Amino acid sequence: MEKKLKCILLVDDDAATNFLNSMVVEEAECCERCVVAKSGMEALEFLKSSENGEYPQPDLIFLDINMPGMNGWQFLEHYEKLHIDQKAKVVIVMLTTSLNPDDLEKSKSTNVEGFIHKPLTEEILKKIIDKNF
Amino acid sequence: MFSSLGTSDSRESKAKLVLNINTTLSLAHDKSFADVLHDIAQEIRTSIGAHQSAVSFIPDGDFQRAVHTHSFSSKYEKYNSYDVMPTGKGIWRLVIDQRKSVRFTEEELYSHPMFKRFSELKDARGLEHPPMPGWLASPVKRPNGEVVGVLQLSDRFEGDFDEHDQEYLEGMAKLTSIIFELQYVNHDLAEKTKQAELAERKLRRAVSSLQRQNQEIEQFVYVASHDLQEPLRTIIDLSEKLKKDYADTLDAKGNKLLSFVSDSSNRMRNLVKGLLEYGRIGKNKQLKSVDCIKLVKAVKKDMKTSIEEVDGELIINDLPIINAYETELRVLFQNLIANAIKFRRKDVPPRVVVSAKPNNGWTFSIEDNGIGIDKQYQDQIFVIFQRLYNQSEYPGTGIGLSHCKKIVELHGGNIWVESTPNEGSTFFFNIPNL
Repeated sequence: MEKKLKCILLVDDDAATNFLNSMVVEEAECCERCVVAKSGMEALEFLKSSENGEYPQPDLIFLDINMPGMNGWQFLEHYEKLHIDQKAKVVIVMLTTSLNPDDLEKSKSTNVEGFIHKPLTEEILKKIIDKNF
Repeated sequence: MFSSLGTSDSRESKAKLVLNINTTLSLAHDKSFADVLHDIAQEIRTSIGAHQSAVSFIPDGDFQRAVHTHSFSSKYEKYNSYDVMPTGKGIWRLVIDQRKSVRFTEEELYSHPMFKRFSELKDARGLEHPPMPGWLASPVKRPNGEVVGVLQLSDRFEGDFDEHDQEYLEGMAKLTSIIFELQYVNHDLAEKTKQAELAERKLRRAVSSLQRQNQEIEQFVYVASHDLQEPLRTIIDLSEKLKKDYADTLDAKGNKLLSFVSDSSNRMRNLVKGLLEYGRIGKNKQLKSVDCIKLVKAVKKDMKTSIEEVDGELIINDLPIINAYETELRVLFQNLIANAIKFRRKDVPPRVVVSAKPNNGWTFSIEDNGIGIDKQYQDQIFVIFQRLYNQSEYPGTGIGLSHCKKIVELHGGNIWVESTPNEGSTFFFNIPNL
């Protein structure tokens, strides 16, 4: 792939899903690094961490909704409050089942770029990158 | 034929009145309201000695709902079928507005500016209002003073109506007001009974519809979880076979994928099993006397190994003997104690205390020194499939506490938690006297 991203962040509590999705990202060779967070909390910690005064600022976040403790929507509430330098360029929500209308309504107040259904495939990944970068 | 009060004095009219009160009240017992009014009309007419009388009941001043009766002597026989309801207009208005008796001679009545021509008061068959030689009318008031009726007399046998007649009629108006009050009470009672019956029918319909829905849901859960088990079994068996025979053939990545397949399908098996058990709660419930100390001791014995493995301690305080569904109650204690052990702090051996206090039945508590639950999640934990932790941290199905809630609610009780993160949680549940 020509357009190389710096960093993609996967947020999902399910180890199998993370394994599968990071395999897809790796095989697509579209980014320098792919980071996995097993919970919303872990993802927030990653976004707020800094190295030499620089935040990781991933280009793309794939976010699971149905997570134990802090779910995807709750994560987004905290995410919105982050400093602009800590936010990603694009957030994509990953869905297990169909999107219910309430959730769609909720997503309008966030900067979610779009929704995709699991599993993440190379084709979908390419489309998202072509469209946004 | 008729005894006239016209010549007697006020004392005599009072005696007559008392007699009338007694007869009228006894009449009121098993007659229709309209019949009682007619009796009163008859009574006032014959007592005073007049050719015409009328009694009207106007609830809340609403002439649409008025009940109106009259009584005529043979002189006015042809008017017995006269059928015009009062409208509250004309000379009538005087009694209602002035709230006191009105007494007119024929001449005074016909020359009064509020008097309406009788030709305007034809009934449906064209019959005109009877002529009225003289008029005596008294208002009937409720205890709050509201005028709700009128007693009328016309055409005295002899002479004009006098103050004794008026005094008598006012007495009868008081008696009539008692009968009207009875009518109000009866009406209210009938209305309330009607409403209560309506509410009961509604409630019964709602209950039966709920029962039906509940049955459907139970059936659905049972069928769904049963049918899910079969393909799941196949996936588990196939991945076991793959692991056993092809582990060497697959590379590391392939083996990892395979282990995810069997982990996920095992997790799903637990979910389906939990769902089946959840659906079965209370299916064959039997209320019996349960010695909670014995019950919790049995649970402790079952969990001996898992408690010892983590160097844990389970303290059972004095517990009561209660009426409960034993099998379900055992699952409840088992789940709560297992949770208390499972959600322990690293490096702090779990210490669990089971106690009870009398409180609208009994309130039990299971106290631990574990990781605790953040305030914001304390309601969420009782909802089915809601989990707070990652499978890798604390594996589970998210059914356990919703299971506990269902069991407590089956007993008509409540379940709640009080907790401080990093210090511990105390789960409370109340079992009322059953």
